[in-house]
Amino acid sequence: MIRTFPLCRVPGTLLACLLSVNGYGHGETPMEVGTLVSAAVSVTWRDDGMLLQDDGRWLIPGVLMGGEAYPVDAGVTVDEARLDLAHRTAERVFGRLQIASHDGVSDAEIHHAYGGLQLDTGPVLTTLAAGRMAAAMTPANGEHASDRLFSETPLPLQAFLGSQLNDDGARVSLGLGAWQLGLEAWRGDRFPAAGEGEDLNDVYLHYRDGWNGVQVFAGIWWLQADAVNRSDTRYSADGHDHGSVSQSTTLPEYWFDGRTEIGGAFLRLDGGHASHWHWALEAQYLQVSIEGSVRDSTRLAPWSAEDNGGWLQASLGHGAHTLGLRWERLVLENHLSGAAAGALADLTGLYNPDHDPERISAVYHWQVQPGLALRLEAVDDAIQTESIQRVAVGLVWQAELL
Amino acid sequence: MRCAGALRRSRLWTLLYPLLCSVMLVACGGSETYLDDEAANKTAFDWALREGVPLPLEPAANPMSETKFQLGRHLFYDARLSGNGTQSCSSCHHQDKAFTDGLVVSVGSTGDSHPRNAQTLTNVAYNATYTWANPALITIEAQMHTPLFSEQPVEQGIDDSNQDAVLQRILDEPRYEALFAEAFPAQGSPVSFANIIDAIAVFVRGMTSFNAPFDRYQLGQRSALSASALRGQELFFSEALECFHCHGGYNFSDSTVDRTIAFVERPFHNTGLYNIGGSGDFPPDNQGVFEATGDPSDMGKFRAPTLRNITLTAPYMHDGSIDTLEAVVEFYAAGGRNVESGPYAGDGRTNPFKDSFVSGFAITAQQQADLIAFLHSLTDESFVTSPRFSNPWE
Repeated sequence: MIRTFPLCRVPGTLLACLLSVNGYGHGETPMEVGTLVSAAVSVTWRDDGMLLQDDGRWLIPGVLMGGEAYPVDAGVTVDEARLDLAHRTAERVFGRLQIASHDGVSDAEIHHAYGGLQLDTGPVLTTLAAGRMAAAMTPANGEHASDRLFSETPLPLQAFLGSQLNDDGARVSLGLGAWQLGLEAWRGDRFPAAGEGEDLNDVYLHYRDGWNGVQVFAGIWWLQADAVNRSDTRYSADGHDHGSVSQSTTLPEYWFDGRTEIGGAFLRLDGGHASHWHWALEAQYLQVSIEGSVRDSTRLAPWSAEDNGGWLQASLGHGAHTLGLRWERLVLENHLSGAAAGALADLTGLYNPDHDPERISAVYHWQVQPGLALRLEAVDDAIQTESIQRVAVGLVWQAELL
Repeated sequence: MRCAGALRRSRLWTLLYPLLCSVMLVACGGSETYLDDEAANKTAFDWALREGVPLPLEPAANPMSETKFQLGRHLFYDARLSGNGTQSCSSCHHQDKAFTDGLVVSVGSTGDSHPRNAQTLTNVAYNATYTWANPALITIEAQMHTPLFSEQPVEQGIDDSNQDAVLQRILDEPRYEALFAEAFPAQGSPVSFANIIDAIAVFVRGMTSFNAPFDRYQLGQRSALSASALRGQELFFSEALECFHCHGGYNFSDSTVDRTIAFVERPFHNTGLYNIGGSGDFPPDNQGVFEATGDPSDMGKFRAPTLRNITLTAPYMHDGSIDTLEAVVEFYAAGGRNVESGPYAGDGRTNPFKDSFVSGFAITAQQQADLIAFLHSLTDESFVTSPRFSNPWE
């Protein structure tokens, strides 16, 4: 297996942008000196869940699912519960520990456990971090139900990152003014790498600034993941007992070997905070190239894919009340070959009957108190060829405990 | 300042441009799945498969054709194809019994008892190996030498002393002239044992059975399975009972091969039927793969047969030593068989070579009835009554 360091693929224009701007630092790095302990819980009742396969699995037609891409279920679900401890010294040494459960998964796990330091090296602010953390190439990757306007994880993240890329690894970020260049190298245990721990790296360039009262946060990123023997462990991994699959059900076993490359771009605009009115716009796009093969115990089919996915989100608020809309869509193009192409396309869920998985959501968000919000959502879910509608009522509680 | 602002905007545009293009791309849609089976699913033969079942392998040296199928059907049912003219393939493979014979062990044309129970010919095109325990026998054409020419035991009993007479009997039958000519049109004198074997192999290979209630259920006919059979299906595919590990897949056997398979597995299993003297031994005339390999760990290993039409193929196991399906379920629930007395005495449950999946399980009477109801749903009535597979001489 040829290992390539992602920096060698960074376009020259990207580096040129970096070198022409001023100092800046952001992200999950604790920025305030001292210790902060916080907690958040998001609980949602839904009148209906997502459409599942007969065996209880949730598949997006045309996507090789994996990671922690779980469906939402009918009834009451704890979308997220987390306890977060962050500490930063005056010497710019920091650490963070977060224990969380999310996406209705019953058991909590260590979500963040990392440490690092910042080095003020002239105009460049260098941040080093290592440990378990969420990849920072797009801010959406680090957000959960308590952070987002909507309770459900964006569809492209579910499809292409297994809900969230969270792994053991190291990050180097260089901040210059409004710009930040980040390089991340991961152990490769998580989707879309996973399996036997192959390469998983990403690089990103972010821009964050304020223009005439509008906060701008934009970025482009690129990720490469190599996988050997990657399987869909969503319903078999320890501590991930998800209710949609019966324990007595025998699920098909299959594996992916190959490379996934994802390019992404995003823009977030946030304005109007000087008045009672406030608004926000967000656009996210992911372009995915996959080259490899899928196989089960006896069959193999070479597989390549050129997928696109993205979402647009807009919200308008007045005081504690916010209305929002989100449109998400996937465009999936799969090529399978060989005698087992049809059988494995069916088995793995890669067969897509010319359908663009799509979801449109509307939300009313009421910040009842500083730490408590009510969320009402209506979702038109056309992820499967048969579309369904559901409504949801949720509460989001957040608090700084220390 | 204006210059700085313009520069800043142009840099931001560097980020926004690909995003806007991409949003338009996503908005246009157009998901598609392209499947290129590289002609693997091309066939000129009517296999009568249901949707979702892949095509079986077709030997390049003996491609399927309807004319060979019809010739093979005549030969299969023709007792003249034996040394003494008394036994045909169909003598041990009766259509109404899913092409088994209902005997504990089969009896050859000269009265020799075969040490093993006659196997069903249901979907043999998908067998990864043939006979009960021979990992080297991977084509029907190769397997057919055994019933035609074997001497220990004698089955159809064709040998050097009678083979010319057997061929002459075939030549003397007027119907065969046209059948051979159509099946092998490029050959001047097509009546030969090589062509006889090829034709019978094509007929047997063409015996597909995918029209059981289970299949109809798979195709969406929800009423095809009773509530009891559905409960039995859940038990069958459960980790508690482990049945599906050896009898899984569309052909209910883990020893299955088809055109889609890249990694062919040819497994054999010791199910704990015997453990003579506690050393793992099986009866001396029936020791499974060990007879072919001499490897002690292969003692008592046999091929897991298809469970399709299983209700018609009693008695069960390689030596026909279990009479009923109920007793078979009890055998697996016990994790093997304890032979308490006689020359084969020994506790098969503790056979050192026993397959780990035969670990035993607790099952209620209702669950056993459900499991058997599911096994009944694998019976394809059309297979055992189809004129296409029936005796053309009647």
